Amino acid sequence: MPGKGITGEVDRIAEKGLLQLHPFIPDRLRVVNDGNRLEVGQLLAKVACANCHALQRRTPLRHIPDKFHGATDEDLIAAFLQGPLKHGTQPYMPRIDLPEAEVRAIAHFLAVTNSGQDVERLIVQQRSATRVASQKE
Amino acid sequence: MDIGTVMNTMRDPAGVPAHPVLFQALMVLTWVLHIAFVHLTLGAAGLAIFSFHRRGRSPYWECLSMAMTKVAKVGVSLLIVLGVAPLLFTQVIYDPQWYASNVLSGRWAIAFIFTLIVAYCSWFAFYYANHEGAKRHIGVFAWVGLLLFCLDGLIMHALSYQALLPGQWMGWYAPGGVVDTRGAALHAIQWPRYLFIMSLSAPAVGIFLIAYAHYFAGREDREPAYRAFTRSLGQRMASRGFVLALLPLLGWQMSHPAGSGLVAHPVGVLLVLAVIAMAGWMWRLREGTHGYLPVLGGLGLLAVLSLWREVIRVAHLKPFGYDIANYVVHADWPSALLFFATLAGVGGLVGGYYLTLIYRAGRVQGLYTASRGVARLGSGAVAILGVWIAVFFIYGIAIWVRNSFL
Repeated sequence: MPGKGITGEVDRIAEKGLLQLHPFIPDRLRVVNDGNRLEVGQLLAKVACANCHALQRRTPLRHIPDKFHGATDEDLIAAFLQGPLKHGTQPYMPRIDLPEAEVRAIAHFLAVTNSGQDVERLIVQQRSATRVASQKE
Repeated sequence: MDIGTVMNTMRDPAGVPAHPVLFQALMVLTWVLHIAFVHLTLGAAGLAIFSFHRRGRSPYWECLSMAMTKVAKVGVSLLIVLGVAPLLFTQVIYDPQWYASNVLSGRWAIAFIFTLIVAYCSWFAFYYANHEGAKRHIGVFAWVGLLLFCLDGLIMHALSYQALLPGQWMGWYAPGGVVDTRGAALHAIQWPRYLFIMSLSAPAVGIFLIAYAHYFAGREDREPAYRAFTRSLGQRMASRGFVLALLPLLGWQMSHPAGSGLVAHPVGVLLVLAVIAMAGWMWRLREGTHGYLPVLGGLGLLAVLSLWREVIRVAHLKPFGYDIANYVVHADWPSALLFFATLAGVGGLVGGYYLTLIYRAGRVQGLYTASRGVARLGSGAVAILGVWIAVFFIYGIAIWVRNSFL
């Protein structure tokens, strides 16, 4: 219901994405690529999900691995993000509509988390590899 | 992204319900009362500990320690209650800065609550045990309480100061481009500012002691020698305390950013002059001076300090294009009327009744009988509470009916 001149931002985020609109995204993470997908996915999950959900396994506060029943299939996770969540049909959840690249990044991060791998270590390794590659160029 | 645009975007999209300057003025005014009780509490706590360790020298020190322990105990509750108003006004007009700063140091913001709880419990344990012939080891509770109170002051200082430095937020949030969401650090501390504000606790309790001696002049159980002892001690603490406070104040004045115009700003200079004037006045305080006058002087000094904090905030945020004057206003006059009517009615009459009652009862030894005027004030307070509760419900029900059925 509109009031006091407030305009909705969900559609604008759907069009441009959180990576472009969110003020506190480091520049090197504003575009998703193979070298930062996991890190971007983690950051987006923190921005979009962590207000209500814990992101780690075996933690309190509606943790996401439990909500996905430990699913490690990225397509399955992405299907939820682009289905009920995108259209706002999930009870008790806000409508969160994100561009394809951002959905895939979040799905990748959640799949890796659910697989039980050490996400933090993987991100550090990827960051180092990206830095080495850019130095060689 | 330009941080000035970011701050303006982070404002409450619903705007504010009255002109922002109104909230700014209320913020400055209410902070004076809050910080007055912060100073009184910290000063009384420090003096209670000092007196506790000197209680073997004279019964006056023991009596003073017990009295100051109670003052600090009550002071904590009052500083918390009186801290709500300036905090809320800050959140209304400086919401982007306050919330960003709190998120950047999230663990400390949460730790503030828990350390304050532990500090208050520890102080209460000291209060419970600090009686005639108390054992030495109970002083540990007081030290723990006071140190945690000082830590809480440091946390509040850092949260306030970080809010003035939006240009550094991104560097704190994502150092080297790597996001750190732990909120584990206090990123910016301006030690001279913190030490100056904390240092005012000593002269504050000194001024309080002068008023304390005056207040108990009519009580025979507070013997004249004890009152003379407290007044003399208060005068020494006030005069020396203000002199000592000058050092961090001058350090603070010198640490303002170059080109900000703050180093020689008239309000800053006025604050320095006010501290010097208070020091001089306390140094030469005459016996016949009314015991409550220094309290008024102290509150005046704190008003200048409160204004100075706001001048500094405006000077820090203006280069980024943040100006409260252009905050979107959606005037809500009924709410404003309700607020001021509550402030005057409930705050003035009910608060006034309690203050009058406590003030007069404390000056009487033995049984206190309220005068006709105080009794009428009490009846008025009960009546206004009834009116307030009725208006509260009628207003809410009217809006509910209008929105749901009309």
